Amino acid sequence: MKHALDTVTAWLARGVIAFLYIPIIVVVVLSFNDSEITYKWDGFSTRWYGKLADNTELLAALQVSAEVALISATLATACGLLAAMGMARLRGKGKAIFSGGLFLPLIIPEIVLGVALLSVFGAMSADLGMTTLVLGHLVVTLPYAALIVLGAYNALDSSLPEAATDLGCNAWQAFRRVTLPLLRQPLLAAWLLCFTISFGNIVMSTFTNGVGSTTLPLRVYSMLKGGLTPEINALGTLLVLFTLLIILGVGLRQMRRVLVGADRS
Amino acid sequence: MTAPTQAPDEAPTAASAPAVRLTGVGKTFGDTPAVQDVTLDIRRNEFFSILGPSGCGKTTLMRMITGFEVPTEGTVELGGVNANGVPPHKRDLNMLFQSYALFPHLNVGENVAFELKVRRSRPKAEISKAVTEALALVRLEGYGERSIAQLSGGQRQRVAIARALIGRPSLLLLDEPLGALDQKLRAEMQLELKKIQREVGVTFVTVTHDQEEALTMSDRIAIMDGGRVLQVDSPEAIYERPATRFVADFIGTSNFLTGTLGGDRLGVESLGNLAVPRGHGLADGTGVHLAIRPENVRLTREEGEAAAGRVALPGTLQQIVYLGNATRYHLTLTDGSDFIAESRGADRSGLAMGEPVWATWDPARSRLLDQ
Repeated sequence: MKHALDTVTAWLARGVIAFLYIPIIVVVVLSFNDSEITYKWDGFSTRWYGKLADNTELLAALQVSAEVALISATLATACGLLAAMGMARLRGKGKAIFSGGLFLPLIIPEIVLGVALLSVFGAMSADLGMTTLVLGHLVVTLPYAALIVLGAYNALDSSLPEAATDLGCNAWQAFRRVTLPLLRQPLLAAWLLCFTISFGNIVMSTFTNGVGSTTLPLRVYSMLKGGLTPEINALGTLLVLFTLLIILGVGLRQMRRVLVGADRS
Repeated sequence: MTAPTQAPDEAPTAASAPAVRLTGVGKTFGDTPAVQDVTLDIRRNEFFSILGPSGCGKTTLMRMITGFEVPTEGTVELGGVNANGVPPHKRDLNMLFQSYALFPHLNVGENVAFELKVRRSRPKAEISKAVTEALALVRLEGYGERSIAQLSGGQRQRVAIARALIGRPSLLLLDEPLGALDQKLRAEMQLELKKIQREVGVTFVTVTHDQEEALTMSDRIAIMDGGRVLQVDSPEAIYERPATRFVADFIGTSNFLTGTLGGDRLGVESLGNLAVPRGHGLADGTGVHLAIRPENVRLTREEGEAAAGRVALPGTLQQIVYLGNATRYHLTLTDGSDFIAESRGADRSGLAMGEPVWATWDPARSRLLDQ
C-alpha cells in the first residue's frame, strides 16, 4: 500500500517538474520553427532571430526593461541594507512600526499601489518616464530586498563588527571589511530577486511608464492584439540562454548557498 | 556597606599608573542599575579576574573598559589617562570575545593580521613575520592558510588569542575565555593562558562565572554581585578570608550559622553558645554569620572524642557522597538545618547513614562575617 502511494507521489512530482519545464522547451523549439503559425511545425529555420534583430521596437523595450531592472534592483538592495542596519538599532514600538511600514506593500495589491503612485505623480505633475518607472519598481521590489537582507543581517553575530572595532576599525572600516563581505551572498540573492521581479513586472509598469519607456513585458502584451509572431519565441529563447549564463557565471554552488541562505533567514 | 576595595596606590605618573583605574564607575540601563560605584585598580602585568554569577554586572563592567559601553557615572582611566569619551578603536586594548568572533570570510593568517592591516602601522613583510610569530605563540605554526571552518573549538580560541595579541596591546580583556571548551581542554588552556600572559607581559583581565577558572589563573580576583564589587584580593585571601557571606558561599562551599555575638561566643538559636575566632573586633550584640568550610569539619561518634577547644554540634548523618578525590557528608543538625563535612579520599569514617554524629571544628578555622 505504502509502495503504491510512493509511486503515485513520484509520478506526481515528475508531472509537476514537466509542467514547469515543458513551456520553456516548447518556446526554444518553436523559435526554430519556419512556420508563421506558432503551433504548426514547418521545418527548421533561424529566420525569426534575423527578424528579431531588425525589430527595433522590441529591442528598445528590452533595453528599457534591462535598464529599469538594473537600477531598481540596485536601489532596492541598497535601501534594504540601510533599512536592516537602521532597524537593528530600533527597539520596541519604533521597530514594529518601521518593519510594518516596510513590509506593507507586500500585501497591498500591486494595482492599488500603481493607481496610488500614478495619482501622486499626477499631483506632482511629474512626467511619466524612466524615473517614474524606476520609482514604481522600487516600491514593488524593496520589501523583498529588505526581507532577505534583514534576515541575514540579524543572523550575523553582532560580536563580529565589535571585534573589528576592537581591532582598530572605525565604523566605516568595520562595515567595509567585515559586515559587507559577510553579507555578500544575501545581497546578491536580494539583487537577483529584485532584478527578476522588476524585469517581469507588468502591473506597476502599466501605471508608471511613459512615452519611450515601454518595457518588454508591456510590448509583448500589446503584441497580443496583433497576434504573437515567432520573434517572441526567439527572444524568449535568448532570455533563457542569458539566465543560464548568469547562473553558470555566479556558479551553481554559490547559487545554492544563496538560496539556502535566504531560506534560513 | 563599606566596600572592601583597595586604596589607590601611589600617585599615578604615566609609567607607574595602574593599567586600569576605575573610580566610582556606574552604569544604568533605563532605570536598571547594572553596575554601581565600582572603584578598583588593576595593576600592570597582572592576571586579574572579575568573578560573579550571571547578571552581576561583570560583562557590563568589562564593556565599559573596552569602550563598548559608556559609564553613566565615574571615570575609567587606562594607563593613567582618562579614557571616558575615547572610542573603542582608539583604546590600547583588545578583547577576546566569548564566541571568539573570528571573521569567517578570512583565513587564519588574515584574521591574525587584521589589526596590523587596519592600522597600517607596518610594512607588508613585517606583518607576515608578526603573523608567524603570533601563531607560534599559540602553537599553531603553519595554520595560516587554513579556513576558520576547518578549526576545532580550541584552535579557534588560539587564533583569537593570536589575533588579539599581535598588536601588543597593554591590556587584554577575556570574556568567559574557557566557557565553550570541554573539561580537559579547559584545564590545559588555563595553564596555557597563564603561560602566554607571562610570556608577552600584557595585563590580562578575565570575566568569568567559574570560580575554579578564576582561582587557578588569577593574581587577584574581584568578586561581584548585584552590580557591586564585594572584595578584591588574591585567590588565597578570597578563599581563606572571605569578606562577606556571599563571597564565602560563592567561592567554594561554606556552612553558615547565624546568631548574635556576645564576647567570644556566638549565640545561635536552639544550638547554643559556640566559640568563635578571637580578635574579631566586632561589637557585642551584632548579628553575624559564622562560616565554616566543610573540609575543616571533622565527624565523631561521641562528643568526648573531639579534641579540647573544638566546637561540637550534634546531628544526624543523612548521606555520604563519594566525589573521587574527597568524600562529602551531609548532616542535619538538631535545629533541622543542613551541615556539610568533607574529608580527603574515600570514606574511612566507618559511619553509617542515619547514625547520630558530632560535627566538630577548630574555632580558629571558622570565620565571622557581619554582612
